Amino acid sequence: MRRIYESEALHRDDEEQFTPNQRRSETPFQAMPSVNTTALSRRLLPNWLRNRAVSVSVSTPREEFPLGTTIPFRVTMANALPVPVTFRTRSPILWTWDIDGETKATRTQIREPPDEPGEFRFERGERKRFKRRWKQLFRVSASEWTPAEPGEYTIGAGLNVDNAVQRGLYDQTTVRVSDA
Amino acid sequence: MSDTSDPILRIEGLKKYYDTSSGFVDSLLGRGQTVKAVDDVALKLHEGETLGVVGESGCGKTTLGRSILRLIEPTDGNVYYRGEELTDVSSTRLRRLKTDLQYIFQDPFASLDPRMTVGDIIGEPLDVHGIATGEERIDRIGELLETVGLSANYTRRYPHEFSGGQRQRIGIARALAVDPEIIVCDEPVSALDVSVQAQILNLLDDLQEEFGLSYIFIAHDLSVVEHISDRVAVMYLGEIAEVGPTEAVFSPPHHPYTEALLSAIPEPDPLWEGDRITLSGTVPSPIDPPSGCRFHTRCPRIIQPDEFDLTQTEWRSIVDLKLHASDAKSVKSLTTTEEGSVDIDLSAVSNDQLDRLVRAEFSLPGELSDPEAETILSAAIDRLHAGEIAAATDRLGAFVSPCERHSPEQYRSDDTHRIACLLYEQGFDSSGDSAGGTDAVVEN
Amino acid sequence: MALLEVEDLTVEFYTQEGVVTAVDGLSYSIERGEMFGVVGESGAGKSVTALSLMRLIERPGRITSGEIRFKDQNILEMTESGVRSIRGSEIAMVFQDAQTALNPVYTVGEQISEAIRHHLDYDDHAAKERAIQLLDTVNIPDAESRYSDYPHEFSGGMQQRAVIAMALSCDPELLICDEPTTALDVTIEAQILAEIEELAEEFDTAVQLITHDLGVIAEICDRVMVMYAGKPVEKAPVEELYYDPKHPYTVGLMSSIPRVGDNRDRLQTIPGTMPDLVELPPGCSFHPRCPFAEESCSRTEPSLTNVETGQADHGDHLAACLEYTGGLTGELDYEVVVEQTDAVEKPNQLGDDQNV
Repeated sequence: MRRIYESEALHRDDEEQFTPNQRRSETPFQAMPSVNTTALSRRLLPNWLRNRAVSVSVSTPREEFPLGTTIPFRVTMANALPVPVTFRTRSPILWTWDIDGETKATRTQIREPPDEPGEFRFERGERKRFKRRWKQLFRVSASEWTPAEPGEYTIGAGLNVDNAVQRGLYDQTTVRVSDA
Repeated sequence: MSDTSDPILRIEGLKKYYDTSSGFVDSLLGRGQTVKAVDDVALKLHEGETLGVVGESGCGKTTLGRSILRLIEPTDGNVYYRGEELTDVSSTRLRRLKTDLQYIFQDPFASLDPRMTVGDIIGEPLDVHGIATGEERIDRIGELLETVGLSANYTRRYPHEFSGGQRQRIGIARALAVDPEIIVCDEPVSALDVSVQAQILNLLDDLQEEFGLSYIFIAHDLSVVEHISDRVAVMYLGEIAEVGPTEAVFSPPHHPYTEALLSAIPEPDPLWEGDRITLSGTVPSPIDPPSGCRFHTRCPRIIQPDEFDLTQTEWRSIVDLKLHASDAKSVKSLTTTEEGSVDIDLSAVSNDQLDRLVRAEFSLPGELSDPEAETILSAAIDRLHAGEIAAATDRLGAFVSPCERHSPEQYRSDDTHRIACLLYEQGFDSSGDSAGGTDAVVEN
Repeated sequence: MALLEVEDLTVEFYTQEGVVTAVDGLSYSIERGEMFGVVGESGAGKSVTALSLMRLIERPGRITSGEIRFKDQNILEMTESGVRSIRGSEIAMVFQDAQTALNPVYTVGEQISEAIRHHLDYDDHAAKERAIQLLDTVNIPDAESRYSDYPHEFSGGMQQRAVIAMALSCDPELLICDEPTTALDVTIEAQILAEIEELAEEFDTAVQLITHDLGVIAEICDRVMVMYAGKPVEKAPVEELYYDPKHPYTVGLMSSIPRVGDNRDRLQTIPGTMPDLVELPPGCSFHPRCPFAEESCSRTEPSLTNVETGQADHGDHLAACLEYTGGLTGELDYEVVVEQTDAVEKPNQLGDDQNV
């Protein structure tokens, strides 16, 4: 109950018990810094610190999945530093996932992304969470998919930067697809 | 749904006026203007039924919905819930009654606090009214989510994670949390895609059946209202134009405004060739509503007084001219704009030419079919030619419709169908009776 | 040569969440003077398509492939000034929200005159005259004095009419209307649709009408394209679309509209919701919601196929469903019932015969 009162969601005056709340302007999660910390981050943060600052992890709800079912997985990226961190990515695609190294479980070239870098920004202390589902299918052409066979598969995800693995900006997990 | 049983909700003489004066001095000096958003509305809601309230923007239907539940305080009138007068009750009692009377808003996003989880949002009324705590509360929240077709696992999510349709379901779950009797739904599906709309309408239908709910369903989309409502009230400029069983109101339509609304709906059928009724003019301001029947300024079936013998189209056009002339600031504004006519100096134009331009603007023929009316019209145009707008308006004042003078009562076609239109003053004309068939007998 | 030819258009938005493929491999064409409808629900990609035509897509969106040929010139390869000279004079756009097109700080008349002076090189006087003419043509009463009014002095319907006047001021060959009447009351909507139709005929303008409202489409369009999750799923002449729909999504959409007088207790619904454009389903994007889906529907993405001949992308009536490429084992088992409803009976019109 206390949390509800503190949240100011309930009007205290008796007249308006169930009026809708005014849509409050979004309060920022952190105080607005008066300094342009992004620029600072780029200049002052040594690369090794920037790399260590953000951790990536991939997880699935369980390790084994029956053949032909959907495998959900979660990708979490967290910035441990008290300053914003920005990464220059190889293209506007900021992060990717792959199955056994094949990006987005696609075995063919669909489209080239634009030939320009992107910027992936993390606020201080920010945690980004993404959910994806792999339906145990590999895309083999623009319009064809083939099912995966039973066996072990590695689900990986990370930032779209060079040497993501060495820089700790990539993670993997393994799942087993069983023919039960 | 017996007609003879007492209604669960009874609204009488409900008014909501807004004062537009911007301060103490303004109101002291009477400089403010009154917006009559809801002006003397009477409605009944029976247990287990859905009463639709339909009308275009500015008709006051949302204000009506809010006034019923005292979300905004009515200026006058009474609302009775099971015989108890809501408008008079203490705030403590009103809060308790709110477990029986709930509200669903149009914008599911605006009405859900983005910082509360879904579980908190639905649990809030349970807490406020002390309905359930602890384990029981958690169970009830889960149940409510499943009742509206969402997973009980969603309790820890936040509103922004959901689609419009899902948020509306959350809004409905919140309204159901207190086990209400009546839910006022204010445009609950207007912001949703067609296929999602259909899902929500079916859900509301199912819930009504399962929990014996009564709805007041406010919307501007006639097709939606017609689908879900047992009875319908059509609103125009703060008043009820017509109310009755849905089928009686819509097929065939009686009140000219209802008729125009129906004919305006774009029919999802490319080969449909209906006659579309066009309404002249624009919706008047609720600050200064027209005299008599408020719809008279646009009604295609405005009544002609006995002394004239014009066609209905001519009559409507003549009244249009009269109304425009009384407001006109220049003779120019009463004439049609033609190629090269933008610069015309109207004082240099011949009477004949002006006559042609005025008649063209109002779709009047070169000569009216009633000679007496034609004389009056020509005289008025003469005055316009002399630049005397007031004098012209004076002449045109001879064209007065009873619709401008008399405010129509809610004429009863029978106990359940009321039409506020002078055309129905003596009851149904015979063709309406036999064609409809539904209004003569009311099934209980 | 068609007036407008869109070929294999793809528009992607690069967001943190992932790549949103708002429009995927879209192709269609519009002939001179044709009324072409684009229908779909929100998220289907209809507005993005329109904005691409005028090169109004902004970061993080990109047009990543395709060609848009207007009078045989690829808009996507023109210079910025080339596009600007076409925008407003040869291709004009009317948005849902009139306020985005009308600058609140200038009078309505002035804004229209400005467009005319800029594109047609008229002098001040001639431009003003034409502007007043147009305001009158779109049924704004007392056009001459309204010329000097500001946008906020117009009602919603009037504003939209003024926007249409502005769009037509330079006699464009293609008018793109994106939900032009959605924000308006039904009686005003009816008038404005009639006006668009009339004006298009009078000025011989082709119209691309984008909306989610199937009633509006039926009202004025000659041909229609149905979009789902960024892709075209059906293309057909308007009568065929309504009386003989071929794609299960179109069928589902038609059955979920409430219609006055249809007496159904429950509306037919399409279960589920449109997929997240960041994570489109494999195979046919509609298959998770399709009552006729088979395993092959999640393995192969059907392209637009002629419903009669099974040929790709050729002919009048096309649908993107494996049914028409012979890839389905089951059948599409639905029925379109056309009811003969009698014209609504109206009580005696008083007036023309004076007997009350």
